[in-house]
Formats: sequence, C-alpha cells, structure tokens
Amino acid sequence: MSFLADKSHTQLKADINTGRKMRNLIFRFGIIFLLVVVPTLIQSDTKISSAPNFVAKDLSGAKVELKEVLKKGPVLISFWATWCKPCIKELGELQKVYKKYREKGFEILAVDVDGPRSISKVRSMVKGLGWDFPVLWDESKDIYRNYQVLGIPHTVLINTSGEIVYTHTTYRPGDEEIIKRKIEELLNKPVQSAEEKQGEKSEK
Amino acid sequence: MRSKIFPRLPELPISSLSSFLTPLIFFIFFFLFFALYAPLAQDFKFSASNQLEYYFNSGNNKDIFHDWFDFIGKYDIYQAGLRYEAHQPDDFGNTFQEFSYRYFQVTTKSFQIVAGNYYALFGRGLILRSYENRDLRLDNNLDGIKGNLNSGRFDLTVLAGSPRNGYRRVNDPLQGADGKMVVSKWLTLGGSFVRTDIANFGFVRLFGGNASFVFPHLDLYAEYARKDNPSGENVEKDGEGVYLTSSFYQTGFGLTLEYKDYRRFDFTNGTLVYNNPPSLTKEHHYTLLNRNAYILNLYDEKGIQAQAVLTPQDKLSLLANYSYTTDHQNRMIFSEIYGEAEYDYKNLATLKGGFSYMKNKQEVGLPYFLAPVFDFTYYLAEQNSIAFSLEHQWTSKYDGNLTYYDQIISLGFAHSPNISLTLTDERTTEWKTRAWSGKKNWLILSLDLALGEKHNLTMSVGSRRAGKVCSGGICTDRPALDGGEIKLLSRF
Repeated sequence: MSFLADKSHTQLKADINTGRKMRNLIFRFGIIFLLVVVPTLIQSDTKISSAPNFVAKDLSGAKVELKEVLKKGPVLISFWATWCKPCIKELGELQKVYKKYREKGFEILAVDVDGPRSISKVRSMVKGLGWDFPVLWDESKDIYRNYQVLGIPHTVLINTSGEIVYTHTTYRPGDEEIIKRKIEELLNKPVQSAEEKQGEKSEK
Repeated sequence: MRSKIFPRLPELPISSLSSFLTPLIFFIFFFLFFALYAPLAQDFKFSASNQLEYYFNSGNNKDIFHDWFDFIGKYDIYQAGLRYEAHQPDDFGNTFQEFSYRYFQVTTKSFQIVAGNYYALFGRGLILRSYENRDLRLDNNLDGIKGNLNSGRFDLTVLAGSPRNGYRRVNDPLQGADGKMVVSKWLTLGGSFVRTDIANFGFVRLFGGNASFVFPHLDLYAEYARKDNPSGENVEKDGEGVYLTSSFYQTGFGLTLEYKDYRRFDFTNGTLVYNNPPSLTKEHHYTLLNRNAYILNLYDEKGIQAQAVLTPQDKLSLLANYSYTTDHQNRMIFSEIYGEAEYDYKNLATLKGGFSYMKNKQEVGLPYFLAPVFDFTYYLAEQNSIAFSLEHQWTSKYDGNLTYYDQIISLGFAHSPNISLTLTDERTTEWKTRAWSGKKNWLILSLDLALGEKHNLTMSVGSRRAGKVCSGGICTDRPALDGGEIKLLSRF
C-alpha cells in the first residue's frame, strides 16, 4: 500500500516537474516567437535609414572619411576578417563588380574587423589576392558597432545622399548579382547628394 | 583580491515568468519608442540590434538562453548607447541579466569623449586590449571615461576605468594613455602606458613604444613593452614583450613575417586578462583545426610565423603558413605547417584543398595532427548552389601509441539571398582507444533564413560535439548540443 502511495507521490512530483518544464518551454518559445514575428511585422526594409559617418585609417595609414567618399558615388561597405571564409569568397566576387563600376564613381570600403593579432597579414593578403579597393582597419570595432553588425560578412550599400539602400548578412553564391543590380539602379538613377538636399531645405 | 558585484538587476530563477517579463518590457519599451518618437525627431538617428541564441538539449532536458540587445541614439555630435544582456542560463549554468554596457559620447573632428562603457586597444594589444567577442563569451569593456585628441600629426588617448571580468566589474581601476605621432609619410612613432593598483598585490605598470614604417611594397612594425610588478605568491617580478612584423607585397603576391617574445608578460587580475598580444598562429575557419588551436602563454613563449599568399592567375590562389612557438628553454610547444589552394573552374565550380600538419604540446599525450581539408561548391544556376565540405584529422598521441581520427562531412544547398540548408556529420574513432560510453557520431541539420534584409534566423536540429572554440590564442569550451538551437540576428 505504502509502495503505491510512494509511487503515486513520485509520479505526482514528476507530473508537476513536467508541467513546469512545459510551461517554461512555452514561455521561452513564446518570447522567441515574439522576437521573430514582431521584427518581421515591423519589417523596415522599405524605411530608409542614414549611414553613420566614420573616419578610419586604410592600410597605409591614410584617413578615409565616408562622407568624402560618398561625394564621388555610391559606396558598398563590406565587413570582413581574414579568418572568415565566406567573407573572402564574397570580396573576391565583389572585386569583379568593383572593376566593372569603379570608373562610374562606385567605391567599395572593405572594413576589416580583425583583431591586432591578424592585422599585419591583411595587407599582404589583400595584395596577394589582387583586391584593388580600399581596406580600412576598424581598430576598436566602433564602425562595426555603429552599423549594428552582428555577424560577418555583412554588406551595406549606401547612395550618394548617405542613405542605406541595401543590407545583407552572410554570403551565398549569387548574392553579388543582387548587389550588381542595386549598384546599376543607383548609377542609372542618381540621387541628390546630402549637400544638395540641405541646400534645398534652406531655400524653402 | 578586492572586487565587488557590479550593480545589476536581481537575478531571477529560470523558471520564473518575471525573468522573461523584464526583457520583454524592455523590448516593448524600445519598439514603442521607435514607433512614436522617431518620426517626430528628424535629426535624431537611432539604430538597434538584437542577438538571440537558444539551445535546447533533449537528452538532459537543459536549455541555454543568451540575448544581447543594443541601442544607439545619435543627435548631431552626441551619441548614447545601451546594451541589455541576458543569459538564462549561460553555457556553464550561470544566470545573469543587466544593462551591461551604456555610454554617452561626444565626437568632433579633433576630439572624442566617452563617459560610461568603452573598449580600447593600445598598439597591437601588448599593453591593453579591451574588447568583446561573443563567440568566446568574452567582454572586458572598461567603465569610466576615455578621451581622444587628434590632429593631423598627433593622436592621444587617455582613459581611466574599471574592467569587466565575466559578469562582474573589477574594482581595481585602470589608468592609461596611448599616443601616436606621424613623423613623416613613412614613419609613425607611438607610446603607451597603463597602470592599475591590484588590491593585496600592489601597482602593476606597463609601458612601451612602437614604430611603424610604410614603404612602397613593404611595411614594418616593431613594438616593445615592459611590465613592472611586485613579486608575490607564484608571481615573479617584472616582465617584457616584443613583437615584430614585416609585410612584403605586390599585385598577386604577399608575404608576412612575424616574431614574438613574451616573458613573464601576463597582465592579469585574477581571471581577468588586460592584454592580448598577437599569438602568431594561423586562425583557422575549419572546425577540427580550430579545436586544437594554440592557447597563448604570455608567461613564457617566443616564436615566429610566416604566411605567403599567391595568385598566379585569376582563377587560382595559393596560401602557405608556417608557425613555430617555443618556451625560453627552446622547447617546442606548438608548430604548424598549413597550405591551401583554391581554383575557380569556369565560374561553374570552386574547388579548395588544404593540408595541416600540427604539433601541440600543450595538450595531453603531446599529440600531432595530420589534417586534409576539402571544399567543393557547384553553381547550379545564378542563385542556386550546392556545397560539399570534408575535414579529416588524424591524431597521434603518446609517441604513436594512441591513434584515432575525427571527421566532419557537410553537404549544403543555398538559394541566394535567402536560404541555406546544411547537413553536417561528425564522427570519431577516439572511442576505440579508451573506455567511451558517449556518442561516436553527431549529425545536425541547419536551416539558415534571411527574413528580409534585417533579420537572419538559423534553426538547427540534431547533435553537435562539445569542443574548444578559439580566436587569437584565446579559447573557450562550448558545450555539446543534443536537441535544437535557434539563433536570431535582428537589426532595426
């Protein structure tokens, strides 16, 4: 009899634990569901946000300011590191895109987020792979944080008004075709520069 | 050691509903803030991101939950930022939640002042490196004040603050300064100094200088640093570190040579490490090669590394890397020879093959490893591709008395720009060498989805082996997975 009582007590405890775990699991998945669905619902792809300006040094130590580069044409920022396999693959493809559009004012800024341990290998690697675009070192990862980057490779396409028109994280073969189309759109449909917009505002 | 718990929100039991309500209220607050305030304030710029990781182990019914929410608001020259961090629990069973990073910053062309939390790097990290690496679960940000002045020729950073160690704030403040002067187009000189007063130990000071030369096709960098510290239990007096590097490059070819010498150079406070100089070992992106990576030993090591990159033609690239580390008695601790070749076949397929021969005497049994690696990607159409990857590592320990292999094979399909599906199998024969009751092979299926431009969702089901994850000579143990995982990266 006592054996049965013990068994039912153990079973009861197990049931309570299972119930708690289930509740816990439901809450967790509820939160995760909210975090997936809410951002998707308030999907802000259509909303244009402005690109944070920055000044960084290229591999020869010269200062590069985004605002200045944007005066010449649209800019693609690519966050990468020497240890990131898809980043190197993507930049190899972007080099072909760069060759095609650089004459029209298009620029790539490859922002390297390597730590101090790998930075000395970057220049020889970049030259060895035959990349022509400027490579900047994000020493304390300030640019990385200001662009809210959460993983690399991460690409950001900016028009001459300083507005972010396209962002993408990770690289899958074929992504460069989408970037190519976006660049063509920007080059064929010039937008007002930030100064022109400011001038228009003050006239009003 | 004097240290105190950094002010934080109360820790709540994992099963408690309120432990989820706190971050939920926080998220709702920010969503409302974005929705209501942003359209009214044209000049106020804001951005936010959220990184969520959830692991559920069906075997032991345990789960792991990590979340980092970052918010940045900017108005003219002013910027403020906030990070809410929750681990309920983390990889090791600890629970933690708090606003772990908040700052106010003023930036003009010639100066910047940050009050609150910040990161800093002096030189190449010999003297100070405060940084965050979420893969390593590492964040040693400083809490205090940092100022930077720069003109065309001069750059000076001064800082004071308390570093973070794990989930605590160390109460031994650190002060430091770092300056650079551009002497000519070819030469930049720099110097750094930091000091901290460690309770029950005394003052530790580090100071050093560096020189950087940039010539056409050739870069040189040299840094020397010295550490002054009192002697203590198991701590010898003073230490020093040297780091030299040179890079030679021209289109299609690049060569980097590096040298390190660190002697009693570990700058620590309990488990907190303030400096992180270059480790001079290859940073691998292959799981098996990374699992046996070298762990930096600043107390006693010296070594060299050479890396060459060559692109003999458009479609072919070659990489060779050699690294060798010894202690000051010239006993070899770590060495690796690594080579890889990548070939792009008529834009239809990419083939990549590599080989590593590694010796790591830091590990039990003084093992050496032979590891061929192979990647193959075939482009089916403009947007579709399939990928095959193989990592095979043969291990020999105790002078060849114990040998086994580990192998990872993965097969994936990708549809640009939104979907990737990957099946990964890992197996080992290590179980044959000793009593082994655990798993012998692990299989995991991962689906990676881009939800629009701003959200990336990864869902995985199956099992993954526990192991070391390393970056730059710093490693952390990652627990095994036997169940499912969800990772969501969002930017707003």
